[in-house]
Amino acid sequence: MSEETLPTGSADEPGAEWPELPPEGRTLAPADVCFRREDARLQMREGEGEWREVSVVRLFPLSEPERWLAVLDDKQADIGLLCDLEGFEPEQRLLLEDELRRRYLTPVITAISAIRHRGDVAEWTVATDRGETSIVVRNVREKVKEPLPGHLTIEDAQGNRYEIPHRAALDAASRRLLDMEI
Amino acid sequence: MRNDAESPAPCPPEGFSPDEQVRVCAQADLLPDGRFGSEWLVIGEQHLWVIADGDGATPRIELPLDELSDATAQTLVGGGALEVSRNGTHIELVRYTNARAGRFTTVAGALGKWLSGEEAEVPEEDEKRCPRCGLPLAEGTKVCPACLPRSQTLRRLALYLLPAWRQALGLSLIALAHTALGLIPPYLQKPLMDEVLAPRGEPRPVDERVRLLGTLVLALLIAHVLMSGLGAARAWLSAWLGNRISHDIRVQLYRHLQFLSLGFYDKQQMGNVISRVNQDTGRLQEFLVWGSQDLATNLLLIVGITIVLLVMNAKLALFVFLPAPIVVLLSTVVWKRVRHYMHRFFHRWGRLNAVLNETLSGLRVTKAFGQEPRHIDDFSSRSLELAISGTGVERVWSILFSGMSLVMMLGTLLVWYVGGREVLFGPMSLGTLVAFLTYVGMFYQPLRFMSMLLNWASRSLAAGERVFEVLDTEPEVAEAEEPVAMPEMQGRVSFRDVSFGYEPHRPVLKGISCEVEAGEMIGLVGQSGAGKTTTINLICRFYDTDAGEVLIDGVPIRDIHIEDLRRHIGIVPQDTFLFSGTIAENIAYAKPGATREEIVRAARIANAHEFIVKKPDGYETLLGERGQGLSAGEQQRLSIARAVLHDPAILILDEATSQVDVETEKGIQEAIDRLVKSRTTFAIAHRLATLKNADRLFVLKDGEIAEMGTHDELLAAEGEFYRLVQTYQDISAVSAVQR
Ligand SMILES: Nc1ncnc2c1ncn2[C@@H]1O[C@H](COP(=O)(O)OP(=O)(O)OP(=O)(O)O)[C@@H](O)[C@H]1O
Ligand SMILES: [Mg+2]
Repeated sequence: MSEETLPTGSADEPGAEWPELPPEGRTLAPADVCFRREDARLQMREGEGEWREVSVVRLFPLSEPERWLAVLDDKQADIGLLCDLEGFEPEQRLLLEDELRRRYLTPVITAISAIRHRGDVAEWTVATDRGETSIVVRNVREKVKEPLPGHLTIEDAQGNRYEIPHRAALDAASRRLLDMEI
Repeated sequence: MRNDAESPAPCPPEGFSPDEQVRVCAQADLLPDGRFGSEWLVIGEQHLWVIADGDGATPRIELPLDELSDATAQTLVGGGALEVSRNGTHIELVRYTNARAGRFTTVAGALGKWLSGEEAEVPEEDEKRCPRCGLPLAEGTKVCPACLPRSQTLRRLALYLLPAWRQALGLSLIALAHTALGLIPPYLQKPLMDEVLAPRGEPRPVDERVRLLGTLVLALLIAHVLMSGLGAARAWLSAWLGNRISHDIRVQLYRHLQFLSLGFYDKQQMGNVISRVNQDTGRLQEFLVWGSQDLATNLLLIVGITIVLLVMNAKLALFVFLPAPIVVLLSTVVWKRVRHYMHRFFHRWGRLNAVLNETLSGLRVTKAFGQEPRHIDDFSSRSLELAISGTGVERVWSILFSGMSLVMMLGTLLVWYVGGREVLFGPMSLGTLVAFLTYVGMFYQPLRFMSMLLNWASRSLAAGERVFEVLDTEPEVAEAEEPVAMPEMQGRVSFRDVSFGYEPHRPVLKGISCEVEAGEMIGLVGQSGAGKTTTINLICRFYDTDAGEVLIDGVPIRDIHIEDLRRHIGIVPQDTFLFSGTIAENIAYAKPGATREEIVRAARIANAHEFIVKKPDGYETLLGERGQGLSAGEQQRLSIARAVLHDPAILILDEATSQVDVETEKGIQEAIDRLVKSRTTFAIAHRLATLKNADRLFVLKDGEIAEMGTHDELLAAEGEFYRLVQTYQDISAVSAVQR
């Protein structure tokens, strides 16, 4: 996107006709930036510039959890985009993944072992990537949503959100329980 | 998360005993690495500690308070983290999910104050869990639907029958009589066969048999006439009772919905609320009226027929009872499946409705972007889904019915065979067999019903619970115990350190303090999302503050009689809302008895008169839903007229003239200027020129008042306001303001 941006009209690249993005909307190439962790915060610098405190947020947290990341400064203002974690050094990549895991506390359900009903309240016993837990959902049909095909989110009674990114990838027993529910 | 649910763990945990007084202890539900688990944050007089589960003796973190500063509750997605600073470095103390976020936000606030040497109180933790089962309670309710005994719901439902108990009792009696009568005709078949048509042994004389035939047929006729009469009465009375009850529940629910706070609607999807009013009350009616009757009559049938069968021929009766357990079992099993399919069917039905509703209301946008085919595809795939699941329901039903009929037919065939042998070789008469078979046919029906009844009842009780859940939700913004009546209001408004967030742990306003004199005109400016509308919402008391107080004329707003408060506040909201009806009705919305003169005057002030007179029907022009038929600016002017006619002590204009042209705005402005002389006015506008007459401007930034003062002062200070003026490139506004 940083190359010549005059309207050349090349059909194969729709972005080419766009005016150059302002500096805060640019793409940060893995080679140009470096991250480090200072006590509880993530810091970033560009080239040999200043280290500054940043946070990394997902632009498409459901469909693209590992791509399309925005880097924000400590005032939540946009610094730039990371399109992919692929190009980063393994140790940098680990740092970024860790930061995402730190920021996004939404557990991913890997298996459902039981669903118990008490009145309008369902209690799900589930295994998640953060450990076993049981979640209490009221009004199940309203609280389980399918924002993307096959991707379910479940909101429990306390406002926590759980995800099932691939419904079809659950084991058969979990799927059966889920099918009975919604 | 219920790791800590069953029995609240002691806080501080066992094994940890500090030498100093503990000021607060809070349990977190995540470990430092983000997995579920318990940790405790304990704050004492001189230190704070973080204690890991099962290791009370050696805290994971121990810090002296005098080296710390800045306690913040970081808001993360799905939870948060509590951090403090020590010599400029950040230390993360604990992490927690949303379930604990409210608590830790409070703790962080108090810790921050302690660190800077101030006093602070941490209130006891608000128990948001059911004391009996530990399930988290819904916001604003005190009853736990899981713990609520079913019988209690049933009793509550039965109360709706109370006002019409005579009719209800009458209905039950009629239903029982109707059912009992139904048992008679088959019994008459026996003498008809044995005495009249195919007598065994020595037949009676023919004329006697003819007389008996006449008597029996007459008896049958009477029985059927009575049954028809009772049946009609039963249906009519049921309809009467049912409609009456559902009317009662519906109105009660609607009344309650009208008084619930806006906070309730923020958390609920409107579609769900509507379905509670429509579907759930309907389901309740059905159950209350038919459920009780059917239960009674079917029980009567089962018991009655069992006795009759046993009396007629005990041995044969056993063959009838043989398939009974199979029928019960089968219908229970199959019903479970059916229920699942039905659920899905209704769910998809709802989704299809939602798509239909949304896409048709947004048709203008659809057409503008040429996306019709997409919506057609979407609709057709949803519709197909519905069709498939509808077929599924039918398939299961049909299997259930055929299977059931087959099993029942087997029982009947058994009776035919065994009974037939009895007739041929035994003492049994043909009449007994025929009557017997008729009873057998009547016997399986209620059995099948009883097995479905359980599910039906539990579904209806669930509907009842959902309705009661709403009814039991108390308005968060509630009338004070001893409200202060305020027949007159001067309009002095004070904010004292007010903090507020729509969700408890995401503050939107952070410590707002200001004093507004009666009659002052205040302009609220700030970027989009700064919290201007939110501030206004607090003045109207649509929401209650989380911390601090709003006072009007020196009285805390929580103590003011709500009706008085609303009578003295007039608001032109940011998004105009007009009801269907005439223009005059809409202007007089807040004052239904307003005279024509008042209405026209208000319209004149709002510069609406000009466009209204151009309409063929003038003030009686009918508006469609949401004010359809008027331009956005026209709608806005009606909204202003409405507030003007309300004649409030405090007038609030939230972007009230954002949709009108500059000239019209000027006209409105001048009229309003005359109007605002005697009243306190809060005006919000992005077009800064609109606020040129304001006595003072408050500049909001990120939920705080960044600046206060007159235009000139603020411009001279070259601060936030100056920057706003510049960035809006509102040069003309600047010159107008400076004029
Ligand atoms: N009902 C709501 N529930 C949750 N958050 C809300 C709600 N209403 C507003 N907010 C959030 O509160 C913040 C302040 O909103 P507010 O409506 O007060 O802004 P504003 O200053 O009036 O902006 P604008 O000029 O765009 O009208 C925003 O970040 C908004 O996203
Ligand atoms: Mg607003």
